[in-house]
Amino acid sequence: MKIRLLLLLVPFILHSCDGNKQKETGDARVTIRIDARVGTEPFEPGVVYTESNGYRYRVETFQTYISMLELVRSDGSSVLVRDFIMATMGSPQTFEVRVPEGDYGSIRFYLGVPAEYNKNVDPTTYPNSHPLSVQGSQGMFWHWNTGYIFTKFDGKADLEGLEGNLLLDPFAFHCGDDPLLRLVELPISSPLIRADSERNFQVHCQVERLLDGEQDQIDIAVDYLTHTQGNFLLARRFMDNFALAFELE
Amino acid sequence: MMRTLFAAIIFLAVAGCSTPPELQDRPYRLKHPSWFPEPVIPADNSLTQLRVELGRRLFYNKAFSSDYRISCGTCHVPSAAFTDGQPVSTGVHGRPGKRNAPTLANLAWMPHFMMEGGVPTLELQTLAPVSDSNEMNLDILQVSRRLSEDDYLTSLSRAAYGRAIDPYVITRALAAFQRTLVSYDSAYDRYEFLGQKDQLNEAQLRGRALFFSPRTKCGGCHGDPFMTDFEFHNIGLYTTYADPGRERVTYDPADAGKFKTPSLRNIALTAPYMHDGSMGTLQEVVAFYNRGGQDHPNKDFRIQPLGLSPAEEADLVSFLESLTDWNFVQNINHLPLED
Ligand code: HEC
Ligand code: HEC
Repeated sequence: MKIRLLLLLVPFILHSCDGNKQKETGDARVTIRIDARVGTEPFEPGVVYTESNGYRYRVETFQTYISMLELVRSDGSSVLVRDFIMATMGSPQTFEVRVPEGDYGSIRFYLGVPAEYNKNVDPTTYPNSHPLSVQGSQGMFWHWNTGYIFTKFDGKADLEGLEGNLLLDPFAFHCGDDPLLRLVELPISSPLIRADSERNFQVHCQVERLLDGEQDQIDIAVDYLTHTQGNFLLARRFMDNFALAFELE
Repeated sequence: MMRTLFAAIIFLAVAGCSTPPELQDRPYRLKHPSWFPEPVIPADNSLTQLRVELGRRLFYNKAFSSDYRISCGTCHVPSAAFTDGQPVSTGVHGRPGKRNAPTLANLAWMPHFMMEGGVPTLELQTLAPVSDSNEMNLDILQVSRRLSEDDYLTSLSRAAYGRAIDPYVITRALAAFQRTLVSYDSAYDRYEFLGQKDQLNEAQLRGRALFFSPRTKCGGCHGDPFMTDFEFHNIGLYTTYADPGRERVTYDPADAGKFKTPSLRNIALTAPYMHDGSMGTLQEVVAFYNRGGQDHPNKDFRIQPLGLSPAEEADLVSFLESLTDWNFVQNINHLPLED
């Protein structure tokens, strides 16, 4: 219990360290913008896209937990940018941090909520503004199997080739549980961040790759529904695709 | 500046004094017998009189359901050992649920909740029925807003937990009340643990011997003192289960059809039986075990044809009837409070 409390405090402590650094002179200002795209266009919920099998589809909900967003130094140490983010994909968010001069080799984050914050954790103990609270989680919590829903990707597709924008075939990927946590690490091509400088990073989630993944293709005519329970394998395939869908610009 | 400070102090003093005397909180002593271990109560929810009272009021409050018709007490009725007599519970708008409402006796000792065991604390368990669209179908934040309109509940909440009604208070108070639902005073308890040898009749004594025998192995899963091992077993109810049971949280097909062993305390009052309420009487349940269940790859090895005679079946049923705790089901401290 004590240990868990301590763990809960860690991000806050790290956070306040970052806060202290802000007052130091010479620090660089770094921003990380996270957005979602289809090809090179901004992704928008409600817009009809076509996936690689030729099916038209429309995403209605695409939400995900991103946690422990960090800048990783070349020596392996890291600076925490944000502990927990509830990301509504389609609404880009930008995070800012001040860091001392140094080599920063990558940006790293989890998709989902790490185990120590997921199981046996009670959302009612967080203030409403916290992404893991009852309010902040926006329904991304399983009540009958305690833990957060890491990612929701819901919408409708047209599998029959109908006319117009009448999409009738629902798909829903609700993924969450400890084995589905995914680490994403994106290398930074020029690692040196100089004192008093400003660096802006763009992290893109390529939405088309969620189904048409780098290593696995999910055919929504066959595999269109998982609440993790009921079809754990599909949830795993989805999260594997998701983890490989990010790019750093 | 001084004046504001002074005003603030006066205000605090007045606010402090204005707490009516009946809202002074005191620790609540959870009574349990020597044959139960010490319960583990979470540090942030030690039992107090007002926490239990608030939980009791919330338990019977219909603001919990979207249509204001259902409270926890609708499906968990005290006189039926906190079950509802239906095969599967009916929720808001008369929607059928999927499972049989279990007893709420001795939850203070339960290590995990729900039939597949996916909920680790009694506090968290409250979130499940409230948001289940087949049960109460309401978001707990909305419940908080509804309850906050009640001045008395709000002052109880402040006195008990030092904060206004919110999901934290609701989950804690309901858990506090439910931990006071302790059942240990059946004829069997008096016989077994208090040495009152006249408590069980001849048939019940024969049934007790059978129940704890290597032949039936009932006591292996439904043992003392809670009449459950709190573990998950497949008892061969079906060859194919509609409800995945434990597999739902482990994703392991070897857990399909496994359900948390139900406590058999007050079992004569909690018909119908099994996770889906598919058996109406204890006679049916015992006859089922006697046949040895259906074939299923996950069926527990202990579930085998037992070769019980009709008289032995009847003795087992008599023993199960000795597990009723009348003082528990008639305890007035468990009933709704009159305002
Ligand atoms: C519509 C009927 C219904 C309502 C209303 C209801 N319950 Fe239940 N309750 C059930 C059913 C059915 C289960 C079994 C659920 C499962 O295991 O999937 C259950 C399970 C439980 C359990 C778990 C017991 C165990 O052995 O794991 C607790 C505790 C509980 N309910 C408390 C409450 C509280 C507190 C409320 C009010 C907030 C409430 N219930 C409202 C039907 C209901
Ligand atoms: C392998 C463990 C195991 C053994 C042995 C066992 N049970 Fe059970 N019992 C369970 C489980 C698990 C359930 C719930 C099954 C379900 O709902 O699918 C259950 C359910 C019951 C129920 C219904 C409880 C309720 O509230 O619905 C009764 C009554 C019962 N058992 C009596 C007995 C008797 C009598 C024996 C001996 C003949 C026995 N059990 C042997 C595990 C066991």
